[in-house]
Amino acid sequence: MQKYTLFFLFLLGSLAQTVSAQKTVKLSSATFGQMEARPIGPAVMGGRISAIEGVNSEPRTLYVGTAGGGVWKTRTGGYSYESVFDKHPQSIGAIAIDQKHPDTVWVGTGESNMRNSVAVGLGIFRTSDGGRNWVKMGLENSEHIAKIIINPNNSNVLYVAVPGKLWSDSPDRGLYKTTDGGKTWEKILYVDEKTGCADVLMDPRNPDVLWAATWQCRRTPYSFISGGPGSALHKSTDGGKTWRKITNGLPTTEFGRIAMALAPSAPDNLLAIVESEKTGLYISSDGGENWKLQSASPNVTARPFYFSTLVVDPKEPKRVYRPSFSLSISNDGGYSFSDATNDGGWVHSDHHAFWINPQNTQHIYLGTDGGVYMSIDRGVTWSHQNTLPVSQLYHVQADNQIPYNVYGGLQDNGSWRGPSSSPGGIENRDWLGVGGGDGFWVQPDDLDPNIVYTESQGGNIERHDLNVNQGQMIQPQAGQGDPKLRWNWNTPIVKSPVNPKVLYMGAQFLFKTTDRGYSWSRISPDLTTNDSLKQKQAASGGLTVDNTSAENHCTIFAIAPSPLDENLLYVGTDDGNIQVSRDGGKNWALISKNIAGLPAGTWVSSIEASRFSKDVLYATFDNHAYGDLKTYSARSADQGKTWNLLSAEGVQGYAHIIREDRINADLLFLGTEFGLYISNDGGKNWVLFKANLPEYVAVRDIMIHPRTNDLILATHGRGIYIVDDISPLRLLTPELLQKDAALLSTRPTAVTVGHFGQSFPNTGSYVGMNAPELAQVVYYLKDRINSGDVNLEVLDEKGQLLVTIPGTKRKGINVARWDMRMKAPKAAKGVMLQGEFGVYAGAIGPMAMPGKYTIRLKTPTATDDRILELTADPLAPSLDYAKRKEIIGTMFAMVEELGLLEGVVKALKDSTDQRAALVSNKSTKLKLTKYSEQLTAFRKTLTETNEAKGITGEEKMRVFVGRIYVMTAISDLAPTESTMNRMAFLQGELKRVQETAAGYYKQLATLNSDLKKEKLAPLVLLDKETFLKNYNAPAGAGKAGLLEILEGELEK
Amino acid sequence: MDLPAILGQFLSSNHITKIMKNALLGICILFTAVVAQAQTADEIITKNIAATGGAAWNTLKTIKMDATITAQAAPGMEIPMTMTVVNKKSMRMDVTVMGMTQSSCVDGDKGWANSPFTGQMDAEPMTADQVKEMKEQTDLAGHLNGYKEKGYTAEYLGKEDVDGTELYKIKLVISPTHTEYAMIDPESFLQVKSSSVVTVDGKEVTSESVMSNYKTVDGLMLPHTIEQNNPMMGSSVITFTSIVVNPNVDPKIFEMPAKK
Repeated sequence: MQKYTLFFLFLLGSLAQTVSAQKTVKLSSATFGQMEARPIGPAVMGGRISAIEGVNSEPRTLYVGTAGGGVWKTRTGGYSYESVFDKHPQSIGAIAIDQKHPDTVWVGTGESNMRNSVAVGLGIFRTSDGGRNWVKMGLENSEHIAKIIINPNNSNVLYVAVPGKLWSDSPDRGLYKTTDGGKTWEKILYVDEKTGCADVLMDPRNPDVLWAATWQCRRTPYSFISGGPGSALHKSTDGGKTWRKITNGLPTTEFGRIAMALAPSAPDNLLAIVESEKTGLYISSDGGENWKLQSASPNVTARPFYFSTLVVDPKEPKRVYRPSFSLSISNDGGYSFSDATNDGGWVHSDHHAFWINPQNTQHIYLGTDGGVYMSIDRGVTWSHQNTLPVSQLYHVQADNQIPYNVYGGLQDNGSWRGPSSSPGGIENRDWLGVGGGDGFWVQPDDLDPNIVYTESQGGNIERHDLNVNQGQMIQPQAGQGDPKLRWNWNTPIVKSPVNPKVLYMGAQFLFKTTDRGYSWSRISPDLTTNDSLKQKQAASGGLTVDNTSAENHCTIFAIAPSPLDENLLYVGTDDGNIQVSRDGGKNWALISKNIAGLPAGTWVSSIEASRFSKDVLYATFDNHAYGDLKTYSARSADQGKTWNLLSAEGVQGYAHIIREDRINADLLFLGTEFGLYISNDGGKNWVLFKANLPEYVAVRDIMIHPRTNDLILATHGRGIYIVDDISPLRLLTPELLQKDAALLSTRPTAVTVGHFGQSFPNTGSYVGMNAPELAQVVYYLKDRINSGDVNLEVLDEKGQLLVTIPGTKRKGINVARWDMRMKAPKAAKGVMLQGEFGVYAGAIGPMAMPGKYTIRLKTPTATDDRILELTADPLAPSLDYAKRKEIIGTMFAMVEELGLLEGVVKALKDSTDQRAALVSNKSTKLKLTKYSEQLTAFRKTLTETNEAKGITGEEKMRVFVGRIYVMTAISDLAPTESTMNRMAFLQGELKRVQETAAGYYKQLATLNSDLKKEKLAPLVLLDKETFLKNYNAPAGAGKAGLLEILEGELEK
Repeated sequence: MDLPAILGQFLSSNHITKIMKNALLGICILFTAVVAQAQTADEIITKNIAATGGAAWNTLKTIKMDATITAQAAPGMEIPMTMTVVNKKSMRMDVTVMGMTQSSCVDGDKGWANSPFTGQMDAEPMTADQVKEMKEQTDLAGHLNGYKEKGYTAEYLGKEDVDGTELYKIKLVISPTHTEYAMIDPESFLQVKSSSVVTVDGKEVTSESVMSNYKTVDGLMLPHTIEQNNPMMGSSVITFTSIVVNPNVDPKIFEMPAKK
C-alpha cells in the first residue's frame, strides 16, 4: 500500500511539474509573500469613529466601526482592540449585533457622515463567529449605509437605511428589508434617485412599528446640498409594507437630515433633530403622531448632515445625549441641554457614535473624530482609548535622519512627526504634533532639521520651528489687483527635488519661495479653468450653511517638479487641467486636453515626473466626485503632448497617487481608494499588495525613501505603513518569476546588536513595529515547497560556513532573518542563575564583522548564491571592528576552554561513579569514591551547582568568564579597560584551574590499574572533539546522555 | 541585578519558553494534520484521513519523536526535543537548552512541568487548564479523525488564499474555548497549515503552524517539518529526526519526579 501511495505521489508530482513547466508565472498578490508592510501608527490621536455597538449581555465586548480603518473588536471593554475587518472595505457606516446570538454581527460599509472626504463602501457583511470570518450579504451598490436594525424576536429580519450614493443619482437607495437573514433584500421605502434613507427606528414592543427618515443630499466637487423635497419622516405599522408621512408639529418647509431616537424605557416617546430652516429638537409622546419643538441650542442644531447621533438613556426616558461638536446632555427630555464638563480634561470634538452599557448606564462609549472615549460616570469625565491606529492621512513625507522620521497631516487631527523606528517600538509618546486643524501636506526642510512646513485646511501654511515649538503663518497673500486666492481644502506644498531651498505651493496660481516662505513669487497665471459656476462654496451646505473650504474648487491640487530639471514643472488642478512649464514658470502650456478615455474635467489627483527621462510623466485622476469610481492613471512619454491611460484591469478604487521606483523604471506603485497596486511592467499589469496591508485600505500617498529604499504609505484610516527595503522587488522581473528559486538583493545592513528601550505599556497599548535591524535574507520560490527543506547558509569570504538559517517555504517572497552573529561558544554547564547574565554565554554568538558574505539558498531543487553586505554601523562610526574581533575571539576561546574543562571533569566524575558502583574491592571502591568527591569539589569551583530555590548569588568561574564575554558580545562598542583587565586576570585563573585539573588527571594511572584488576574499563578523558560533537546531547527521558555516549565511544 | 534589557530582547528565559510553547502547539497541530474533504467538511476530512494513512491511524497506540528546533532568532543553536505519547492518555516532552532540560508531562488527568530556565528545577503540578490543553494533544489520530464521535463540529469555510496558495479551510470547534482551522491542500489532501485559537482566561491566543515534508512512517503520512512564524522573532522550525510508531513506553517516565 505504501508503495502504491508513493507511486501515486510520484505521478502527481510529475504532472504538477509538467503543468508548471508550461505555465508562465506572472506577478500576483501572492508573490509578495513575507515582504510585509509594517504599520507604525499613529494611534495617539485615533481617527474618526462612525459606529460603536456593544454586546448587551457581555458589555466588555464591543465592535467599533471607523471612517477608514475598518472594524475593531474589543473583549476588554476597550483596554485592547483587534482589527477584524482587514479583507473588506474600511469605511464603516453602521454595525448591528444580533443580541440573541452575539457572535453574529452585521456591518454596513460606507460611512454616512457625508463630509467631502467620506469614503465609499461595497455593501453589507455578516459574521457568525465574532468577526473571524465575514460573508458579503448584498446591497453592493449602496456606497453608504447609515443604520442597521435587527428584529429582536427574529434574527432573520433586518432593516437597513441606505442614504446611497453621495455623488450621483442612484436607484439603489432607500430603506431595505430582509426576512431571510440577508439572502434577499426588498426595498420597502423609496422616494426617488436623489433621496435615500438616513435613519430607522423600531418599536421594541412591536417590531412591525417603524419610523424612517428619508434624506435628500448631494455633493459635487464644488457644492454640497443637504435637504430637499425628498427628505421626510415616515411611519409604518405593518413591518414596512405601507408608510405614511408624519408632519404634525414639524416644520412646514423642506427638511434636510433627520436624526431620531426613542426612549427604550418609554417607547411612545420619540425625539428627532430635524434639519430645516428652523432646525431643532422635536419630541413626540404619542409614537410620532404629533411633535413639538424643544431645544434649538447650538450643539443640538450643529451640522446636521455630519452630526446625526441622538441617544436616550436605556432606563431614564428624560435623559438625552446629543453627541455633536461636543457632548450635550439633557435631563428633561430634550427641553434644555448642558455640555459635559470633562472635569478639566478634553474630549476631541465632532462626535458620531455613542453606546450606553444597558447593564450599567453610567458606563458609556463615545466615538469622535479623534477616536473612542469611555466614561464611567455617564459623561462627566472621559478616558481616551488612544490605542486605535485609525488615523486618516492625506500625505506623507520623510526626512533623512537615522532612523528617519515620517511626517503627515491627518483628517481632523492636525499634522504629526514620528520616527520610523524607536527603541522598543513606536509608541504614542514618540509622536509630536507639528500643526493643528485638519492636516494635509507636511514638508520637513532638507536644510534645517528643526524646520517643518505644515498646513491646515484651505492652504493655511505655517513654518513650524521644532526648537521652540512655535510656528509662523506664511501663506502667500493676494497682491494688489489680484483676485481672491482659491486654496484647495488639501493645498499642495511641494519641495523642489533639485534645489533644497525651493518650496512651491498652489492656489489658482503657483507660488514659489526660496527663503522659507518669507517672500513668495507668483510664477504662473491662473492654471485652472476658473469656471465661475464651480466657485459657489459660500453657498455650501443647503439648509445649513457649511462653508469650510471643503468645496473650494478650481484650485491647484498637484505640483510635480522634475527631479532632472529645476525648470521643468508640472501642475494639476482639481478641475482637470495639467499644465507644464519648461522654463521655471515663465511660460505654461495646457497638456491635458486629449487623454483618450478620460472624462473631461476629471480631478488631477497626482502627477509624477520621471527620474529616468525628462520626457516621461505619470498622472492619476479621481472622478468619484462626479459619481465615477473608476481607476484612471496615465503616462506620457513626450512631456504631455500625448498620453496613454494605463491599464486598470484588476484595479479597484479611484486613484490617488502614482509613484515610480527610483531604480527600476518599470516598477510602479499605485495608491487607490481600495488599496496599493504594484506593476513590474510599466503599468501594463497591476496586482494588489496585501501582505499585512488591509486589502481595501485607501492609499493616499506613497514615498520611496532615497536612503533606505522603504516604501512609505499614507493610508486614510490605518495610519502609516512601511514596506521596508523594496530592493528585492526591483529584481522581480517577469523573467525571474519563472525560476524555481532565487535569492533577491537587499540593502546593505549595518552590523549592530540592535537598539533597545524599556517602557511599560498598558494592556492594548499601540506599539508600532520597528524596522528590522537583523540582516534580511530575501528569496523567491515559484511554488510552495511541500517536500524537503529550505536552508540559508552564511559563508565568509573564504567560503567557510558560519551559520545555517532555517528558511520558510511559501510561494513568492520569503524573508529569513540573520542576527549577524556566529555560532555561540560551547560554554560550561551549570544551574540556571536568576538575574545573572553570565550564564547566557552559551547562547550568544559573536557579531560578524562588516564585509561581504555569501548567502547560499538551498532548496530541494535549486541552489542560488548572492552577496550580503554588512556595513559599519553609522551610529557607531569610530568602532575598531578588527580589534573587537580579536578580543571577542580571545573571550570566546576562554568560554570554550572552561566549557571543555567542566565537561571533562563532569564526564570523568560520572564515569568514576559508574565504576565505583560496579567495583567489588573495598579499597578500590573507596579510592574511586574519594576521587569522585575530589572531582565534585573541583567542579564546584568551575561552575555553579547550587540548586537551591531563589536567587543564590552563586558566582564561579563560569559566570566570571561568561560575564566578560557576554558584556562584549552584546555591545556595539569595544570593551572597557576594566573589562580588559578582568580578562587578563581570568586568563591566569583559567590557566590555574587547568593545572589543578591536570593534577587530578595524574591519579588516573593508579586508578586504572586498580580497575584493570577488577576487569573494568579504564577511565579516560573526554576529548575535545567528542565534547563539541555531543555538547547538545539532552539529558531527557530515554535519550542517551553524554555519559552513555562517552561509554559507547569507549566500547568501540 | 537585572538582566540587561538587551538580553531580554535577545534570549531570555521567556524567549525559550515561547519557542518551547510554540513547539508544543506545533506538535498538537501535527496530530490534527488529519483533515481534508472535497466540497463538504466531511468529505474533505475523509479524504485527508485516507491520504494520511486511513485505517492505520486506528492502530496507533504510542509514538516517540525526536526533533531539533532551530530558530532564525538564534541561528546556530540547535535545540533538541523529544516527545513520547500514549494515545489519549499520556504525553511527555523534553527540551534541552544550554544543558538544561525543561520537561512537561501529562498523565491521565494530572500534569507537571519544571522550568529550569526560570530557576524552577523541581517539577510542579500544572493547572487544570494546562492539563486540558496538553491532554488534547494526546489524541494521536488527530482531532479531525472521528470528529463527530468526539463531539466536535466541523464546517467547510471554502477555499482561501493561504500564503499564496488556494487551500480548503475547515473550522473545527473542539470546545467553546478551543477552535482549530485546518488548511488542506486540494490536490494532496494533506494539511498544510493549521491555526489554533484557544481562549485562556478570557483572552484568545492564536498560534499558527505550517507543515511540510510529509513522509510515510509505518503507513502514516506525517509532516517532518513544522514551521512557526513570528513577525518579530522570525521563523522557527521543528525538524523531526526520528518518529517511531508504537514503541514500548515505560509508564514511569510520566511520573512526577520527586523534589530535590
